[in-house]
Amino acid sequence: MKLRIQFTKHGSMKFIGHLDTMRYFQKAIRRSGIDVTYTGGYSPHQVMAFAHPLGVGVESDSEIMDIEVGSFDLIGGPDAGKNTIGNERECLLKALNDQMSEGFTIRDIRLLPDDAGNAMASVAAASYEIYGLPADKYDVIVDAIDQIMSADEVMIMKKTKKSEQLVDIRPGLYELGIRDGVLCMRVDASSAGNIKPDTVVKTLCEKSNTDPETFSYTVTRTEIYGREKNGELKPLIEFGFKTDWLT
Amino acid sequence: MRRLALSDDILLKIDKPARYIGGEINSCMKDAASVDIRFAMCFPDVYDIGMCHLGIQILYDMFNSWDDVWCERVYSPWPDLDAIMRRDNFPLFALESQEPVGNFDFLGITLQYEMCYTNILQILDLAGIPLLATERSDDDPIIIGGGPCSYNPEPIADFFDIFYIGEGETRYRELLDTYKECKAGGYGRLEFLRRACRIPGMYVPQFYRETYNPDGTIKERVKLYDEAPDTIRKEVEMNLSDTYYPTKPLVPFMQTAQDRVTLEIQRGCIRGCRFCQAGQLYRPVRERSVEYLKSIALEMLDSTGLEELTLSSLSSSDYSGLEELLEFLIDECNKRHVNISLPSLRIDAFSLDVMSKVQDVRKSSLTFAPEAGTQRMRNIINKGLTEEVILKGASEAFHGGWRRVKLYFMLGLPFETDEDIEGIGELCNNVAMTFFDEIPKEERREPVQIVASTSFFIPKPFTPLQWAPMGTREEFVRKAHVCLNGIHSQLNQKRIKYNWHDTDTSELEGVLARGDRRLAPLILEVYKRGQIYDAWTEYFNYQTWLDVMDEMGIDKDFYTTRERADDEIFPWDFLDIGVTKRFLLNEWHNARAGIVTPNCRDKCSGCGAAVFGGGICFSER
Ligand code: SF4
Repeated sequence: MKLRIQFTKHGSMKFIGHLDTMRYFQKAIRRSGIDVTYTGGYSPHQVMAFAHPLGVGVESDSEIMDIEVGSFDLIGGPDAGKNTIGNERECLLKALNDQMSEGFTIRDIRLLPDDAGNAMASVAAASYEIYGLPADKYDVIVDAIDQIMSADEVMIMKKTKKSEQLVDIRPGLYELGIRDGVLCMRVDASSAGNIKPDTVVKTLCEKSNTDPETFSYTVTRTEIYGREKNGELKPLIEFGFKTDWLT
Repeated sequence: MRRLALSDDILLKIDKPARYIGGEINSCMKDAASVDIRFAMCFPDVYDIGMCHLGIQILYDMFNSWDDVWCERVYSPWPDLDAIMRRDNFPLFALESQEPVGNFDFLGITLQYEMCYTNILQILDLAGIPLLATERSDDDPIIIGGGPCSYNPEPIADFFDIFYIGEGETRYRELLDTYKECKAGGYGRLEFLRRACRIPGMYVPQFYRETYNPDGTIKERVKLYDEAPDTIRKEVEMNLSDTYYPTKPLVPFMQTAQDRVTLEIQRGCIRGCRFCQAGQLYRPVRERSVEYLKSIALEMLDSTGLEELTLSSLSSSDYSGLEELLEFLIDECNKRHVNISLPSLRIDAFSLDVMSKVQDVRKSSLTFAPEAGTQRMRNIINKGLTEEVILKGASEAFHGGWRRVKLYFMLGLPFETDEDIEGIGELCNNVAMTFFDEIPKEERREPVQIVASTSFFIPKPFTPLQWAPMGTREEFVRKAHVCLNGIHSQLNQKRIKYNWHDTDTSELEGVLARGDRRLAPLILEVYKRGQIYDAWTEYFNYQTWLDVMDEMGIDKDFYTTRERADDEIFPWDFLDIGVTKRFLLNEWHNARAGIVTPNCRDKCSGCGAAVFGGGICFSER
């Protein structure tokens, strides 16, 4: 059985890198007593997958990880044996939340349907908020946003280790706007067309003649989305069931 | 949310910011206003190395179990952050509260290896604390050192207010209570130190001075404060099954040198190898009970969620309850999908059986530490491991499926000849021969691999070889080549790989290990020239050390290559580790004569450690 876990990563936890975050959760799950499944062999590890790695320095309201469990019981940890039938989700949620350090909070745990795709391949989009835009530049930035969103294509130079390549990011920019002084965006986050929030900020700076060195901003990821069969974006967590785990 | 000392801008610029944010699972937060004593515990190396150190975790746990104390941690900032802190005049902070260490009551520094001495000065400097103890004011923290290098604290004596000699479990409460009394009574730093030096185990170096003979050796120690004790006996915790142990160890956010639960099964070692400092310092052997170990092992696994457990001791095979303990641990760890690592096990049928249960035999390697290539040499150093035993162990291991063997040796031991060095190649070759003799061709698809490593012998205080001369760099290089040629002349040389340890580091370690107070200005000047992180090859710069020695007229050979007379006064003679100098001298003579001394379990040799009134000295044989 596969569980999907949604968690936040705030404050100083933004300095914990992706691999260290995975290791952090492996230990937290052990402490919680959740009946996670292990691979075999001499150094067994938990069956666990993260939807989308989060860069060091970026906070998040909604990270997604899937784990496989043998049962909904708590087989160890402080709440061992305490979970009640019909209340499995709440018990696991509490057990894992009790193991969190400041900055990590478990928001939700859902049971995935058997046919759910794996977390990483399911990612279609992500939304971000950018704080710290220079207030005196709002007007020009708003103009630049209009310009970008009404254009047919937005070509940028994408550098990889080996080469430089012109790519069009316009198709992957689903939403872009300023709300209460915060730059909000929803962009492609699939493995084929992932757009980094920094790339969008850089493009906006270029189009609005803003020197990126004159201000520093912070990034918060607010949601990760998958795509429904009809093509609509839906938060990844909602692909799982909240109730009726035993039926 | 806890506020961090460093800004986001800085944290995102430097390598591994997780080193500086604190807040780890099982770290201890207290209300600063509700405690009387703020204690900063420091490992003077980078977080990744210092974080997992058991000794600090034990003391951290003990201090924080007391309501009136808040113990926090501090590690050396890596050179990238060091540069920023110096540029911005940013004070060194403790991880938990993120507050400046300079405002604390105590700064405890663990002294695990000589090569960290410049890092001690880095810590003091960044914290804004005067580097010399005598220049500190009542507002500065009390700087207290402990750990293996405090058994010859003299080269760094000028930088410390107190050295705590021995195991931390016993006397800290008394020391802190004395501190509180002095604070309440309005007595200053000096009065506190005067009272502190009367507590057993406390050495206050500023109350003593050394005078020297014309030949540079020590003439005598002069007391500058009458009440200061003549000798300081090390402190030992005699009941290790009823004392402080960190059952909720810290769990770092980032990968460190050892991300595992550490189970210290005993202290001390029965063996008495003559080069080994730990083997003398931590006498007598004291075991923790199996019951106690079982219960703390489970508690630690539950409280950390770590995926590996390791046993810690100088020689795990000598622990009397090993079979019962391992049976239990293997069972419990299997249930929890936790790996067990078993260092320092002697290779025999029992240990091979155990290891085959917990590791992938084909992928893991076996370790032997013969330390010397010939039996003659092994008798000199009292290493009771014979070639016969090694080959028998290797043979059983090959039959069990192991294919990789590591062998550790030392070069530059006293009375060593080139034949002894060449013996290393022969021994390695014999291990390889054992493989070809015993393993039928069809099972030899994966060939045997032997790795021989040599380090250079460094005479250490409180060992029988403390009188011995150490080799020069040039000799070491020559000996490494003799060893290499010895290996190359063997039939199976293709199956043997050879590594040797850096000679510069060994020589400096040799100078500092048996140094005296005249080395403090050297360490200070080397630090002032920008040298830190000597334990890291990428930052170690031996030339700076040599230059300053030259300028100061310090002769390194005086400390390294000189053979000491039997009656020489050593800088560390005023410390009493239980083991007597008379016993050590007798052992030095035995070494010269190649006479082997039995281990403590077979027969007591009356080393002196029985004064502590317990442990192996009083168990039935
Ligand atoms: S007194 Fe005897 S048994 Fe005790 S540590 Fe010394 S040699 Fe070993």
